[in-house]
Amino acid sequence: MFQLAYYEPQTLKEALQMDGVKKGTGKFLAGGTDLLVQIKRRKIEPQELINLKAIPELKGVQETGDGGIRIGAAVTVKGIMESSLILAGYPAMAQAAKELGTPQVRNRATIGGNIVNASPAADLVGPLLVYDAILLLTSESVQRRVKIEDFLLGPSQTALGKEEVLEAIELPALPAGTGAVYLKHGLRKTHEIALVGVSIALRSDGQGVIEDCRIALTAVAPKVIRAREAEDALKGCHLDDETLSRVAHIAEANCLPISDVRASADYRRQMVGVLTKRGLLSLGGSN
Amino acid sequence: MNYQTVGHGLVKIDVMEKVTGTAPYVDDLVMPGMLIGKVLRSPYPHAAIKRIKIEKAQALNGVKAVITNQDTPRVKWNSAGFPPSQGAILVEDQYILTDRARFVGDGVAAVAAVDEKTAQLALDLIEIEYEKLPHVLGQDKAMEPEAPIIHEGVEKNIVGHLPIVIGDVEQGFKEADFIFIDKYTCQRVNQVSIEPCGAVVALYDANGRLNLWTSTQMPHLVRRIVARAMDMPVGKVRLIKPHVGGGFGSRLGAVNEPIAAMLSKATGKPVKLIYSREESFVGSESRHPIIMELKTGVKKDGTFTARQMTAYIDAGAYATHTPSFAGPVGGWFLAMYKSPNVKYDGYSIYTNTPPCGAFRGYGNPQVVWAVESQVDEIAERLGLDPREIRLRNHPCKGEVWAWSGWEIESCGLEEAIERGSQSIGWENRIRQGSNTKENSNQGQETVHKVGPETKKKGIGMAYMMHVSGARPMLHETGSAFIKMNEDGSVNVVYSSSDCGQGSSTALSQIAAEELGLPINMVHITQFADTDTAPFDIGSHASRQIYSGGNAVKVAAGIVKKQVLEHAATMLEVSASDLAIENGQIICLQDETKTKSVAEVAYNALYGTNGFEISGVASLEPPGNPPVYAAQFVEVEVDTETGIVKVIKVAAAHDVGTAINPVCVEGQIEGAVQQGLGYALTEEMVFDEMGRLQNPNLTDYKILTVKDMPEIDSIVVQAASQTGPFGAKSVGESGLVPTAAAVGNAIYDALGIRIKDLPITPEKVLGLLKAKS
Ligand SMILES: Cc1cc2nc3c(=O)[nH]c(=O)nc-3n(C[C@H](O)[C@H](O)[C@H](O)COP(=O)(O)OP(=O)(O)OC[C@H]3O[C@@H](n4cnc5c(N)ncnc54)[C@H](O)[C@@H]3O)c2cc1C
Repeated sequence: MFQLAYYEPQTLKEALQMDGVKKGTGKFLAGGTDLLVQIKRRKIEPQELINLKAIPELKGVQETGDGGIRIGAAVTVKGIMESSLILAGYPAMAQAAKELGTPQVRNRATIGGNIVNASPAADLVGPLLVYDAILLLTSESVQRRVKIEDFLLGPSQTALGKEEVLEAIELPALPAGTGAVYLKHGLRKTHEIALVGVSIALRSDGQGVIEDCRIALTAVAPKVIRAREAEDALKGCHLDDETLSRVAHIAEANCLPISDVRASADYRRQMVGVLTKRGLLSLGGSN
Repeated sequence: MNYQTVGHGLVKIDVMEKVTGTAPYVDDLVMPGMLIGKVLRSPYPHAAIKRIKIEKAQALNGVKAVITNQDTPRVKWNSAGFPPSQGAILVEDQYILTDRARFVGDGVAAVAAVDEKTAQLALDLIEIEYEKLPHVLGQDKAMEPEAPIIHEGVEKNIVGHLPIVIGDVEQGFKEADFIFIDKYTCQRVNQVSIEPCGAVVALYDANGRLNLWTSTQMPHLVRRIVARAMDMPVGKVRLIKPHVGGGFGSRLGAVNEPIAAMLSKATGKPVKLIYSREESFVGSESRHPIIMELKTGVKKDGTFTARQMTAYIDAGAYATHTPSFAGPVGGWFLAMYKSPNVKYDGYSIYTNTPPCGAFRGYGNPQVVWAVESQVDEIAERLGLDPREIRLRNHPCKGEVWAWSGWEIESCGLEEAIERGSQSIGWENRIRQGSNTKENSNQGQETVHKVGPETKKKGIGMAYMMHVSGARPMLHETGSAFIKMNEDGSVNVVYSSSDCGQGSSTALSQIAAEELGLPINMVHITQFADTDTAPFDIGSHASRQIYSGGNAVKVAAGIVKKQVLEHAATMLEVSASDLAIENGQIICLQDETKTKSVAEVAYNALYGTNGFEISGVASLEPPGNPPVYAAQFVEVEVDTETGIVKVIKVAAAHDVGTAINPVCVEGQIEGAVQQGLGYALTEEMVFDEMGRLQNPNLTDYKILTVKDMPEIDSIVVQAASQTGPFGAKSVGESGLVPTAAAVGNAIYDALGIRIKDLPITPEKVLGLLKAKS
């Protein structure tokens, strides 16, 4: 018979000392919008739920002093969407948050849960990739910083250690003139899991020559990925029609979509091209 | 006509309870000692059950009953809700729990336990040895000679064939200038009422009576079906209907009442059985996918010489509604356009999927999708305005309507088309020259260019006719009982289900109008109880206002007569000189002679020879006047993503007299939302093993509030001659023409015609690519 014990630690230390953490039989509970669904569908059967929401270290969005920001892992998606620091400095994050789920889900869901759940369709992850996010992983004895790209390994697979918690997410300062965008594609305007998502961060010089570019593709590979070849193809170019369609094609080639109940692989691939082009166009005037 | 109450957009009578969350639904009911039921479902699309071992489940602490096919009454039954009638073809092919799984989700065992968790654990402990059998999905595949047989003795899985022949289509095709041959298909969609379908508490009491509190659209007929399934007399079953959280046809018959009844009988305890959203997708009936082959002969002037349709209807794994449903499918087809020669063949075909049944429109949305798409093409080929070909060929007032065989009482189609056109800006469309698309042959150059290059706009329309009841296909007895209290207020005892559509409000308005009472003096039953409420066949076929309203009005007339007669005695005047106005008796001759209705009612109850003023009416409605609608849709299609954005829907509906115009608009808007989902996003998707891939509201895509376009609900009131205060109907029709209108608008925008619903972005891009 499955028994589920519930704990509400008040400090990070307390949380990390829990039996369920040590033995690996427990699960951290943040918003529960992924976890509880998985338990209900009996994909997982944890013995303990350890609620992270009371832990001070996991809360709040703050400036780091070197121009970047630190987002507590338990900040809700609604909190991300409304944070003035994020809106001002990292608008693609706010955009992705705004398009995640429904109001009810956004009120509960957290950024930490979105990352650790490691869905290839996770909305916040694409912007985190193009903003070069660093994850702060904490265990009872050590703390380490891992780039989000190295953290994500595959569907539901991450580099999170058994006794680790994701404490916070750090977004480094962006060079002046960087524009970024998140485009989410789905059948509905809300309550939609991305069929495809494209995140782009772009910086060009005074003449419109692209100096730096990062592109992340959502829901078209086993995890959210960077489209490195497309990025490279952009550098040093102007955003003219030729470049746009060339880069869109490269982005299409950069992904490995699957066919499922939501869309066919072909359609997803095609949309990667369309969204990449549209995203770049929307950033064309951002310098 | 000037009415006091009828025609006014009064606030729904149950609104306070609903908006404060206090209105009780089945799941809110709690009874002493109540157990929780759960159903074990087949994981295979087709499998024989070799052995079931239930001992471990029975031994689990807290488990009170485990039942399987062995325990079910040895009668086969049919769950569909029909009054016995000529048009009801009820193939009895199911047991309460099956001995052979015919779809993924077929109920094979059930448990009752002290709580949900224990019940769930008990299901895990039931051991079943299945022998997998070959299965078949898709009605076209199921008819092939080598397809596995789903029910013994049903050859090619065809469980029904319903032919209709009028005139001689072969002759008609010879006389035609053009012949159009097309094949249209449509998907399976679910009603997705907010309260998931399948919610019941059963109590088999110590007196041997079965009490059911269930969320149903048809209390009396479901009582009858459950009695049949349980093999017990009808009178021993009592059914109570609390508030219902949406029906849309899903509750048009027994759902899980017999399972709960068996569990209660086995335990002697009340048993609550509530389906989850996931279960309700497979455990209740959805809309039929139909393959429709159309052949239509037309003259150059746009009149029809012959119309033919062959419909292959996916019944799912059990017959339930389908063989009867094939009748209306033919009816919708043949009755919407005049033609001297018509031929219809409707085949009902078993497949290894959950059974299909009733869903708002009952086959009409499917038929109209096919017919109205084709008619759009015909109009274009003939160079006719799409509105004109409809106006030339639709059956009109005074003509015989082929669906019923009766004369049409009133027709508001012309007005609907006129006002709908204005609302959508139809003239604009013509000026843009989309009619000349074919001739100019420049593809997208001729469509309206608005905004960025990649977005194309278009406007389309479609028309439909629908019923206001079920006659003459079904016997349609309905009843109302009205009694007057000593304060002059009345109780309207009425059994059919307001599922949220507002029928109890409109029926109260009919009673108030007839009685001359203010609306707050009318109290209609919200909980129907078959022990006390008179017989009614339920909330379906858009019949509540025309048919139910008729019963209420007749009963109110009887009550009114008694009030006037008793008042006449009290006032010492003749009853024919009296009238009731706003709760007051007025003497037309002498205005000093007056009494309140309350005084009359009080005197009747407590005066000498006391009696309660009351009246009952139980009868079939006088007719079945058809309603008309024309819907106009404007879309904008993104030619790079294939996404269709609906900008506006102008839905012009002839409903007869609108008893409550606000409720009428609510019906239209709600239905348009379902119609747009049907057109664009909703589809139950099965994998090759017959497993439903999207039984949840993330992947089964109902349009959200953010996706909804502007809807202009245009209420046309061509009053009927026989309906209460001229009412006809509106319950189902709002979604009937929507998908076709969307398809026609997409054609106008892009010059591509998609022939299988839903119109997904991938299909749009596919056809665009093929075209270029
Ligand atoms: C109706 C609905 C719609 C949705 N729509 C979207 C959508 O549009 N886009 C989208 O991306 N997602 C969507 N989701 C998924 C989900 O809401 C998000 O992934 C959400 O961000 C998860 O956060 P959570 O706080 O609820 O995580 P939880 O469910 O609490 O946790 C998820 C996983 O992360 C682990 N975890 C959580 N926090 C930490 C931490 N700090 N350290 C270590 N491990 C941790 C948990 O143990 C668990 O394994 C939707 C879900 C639902 C139910």
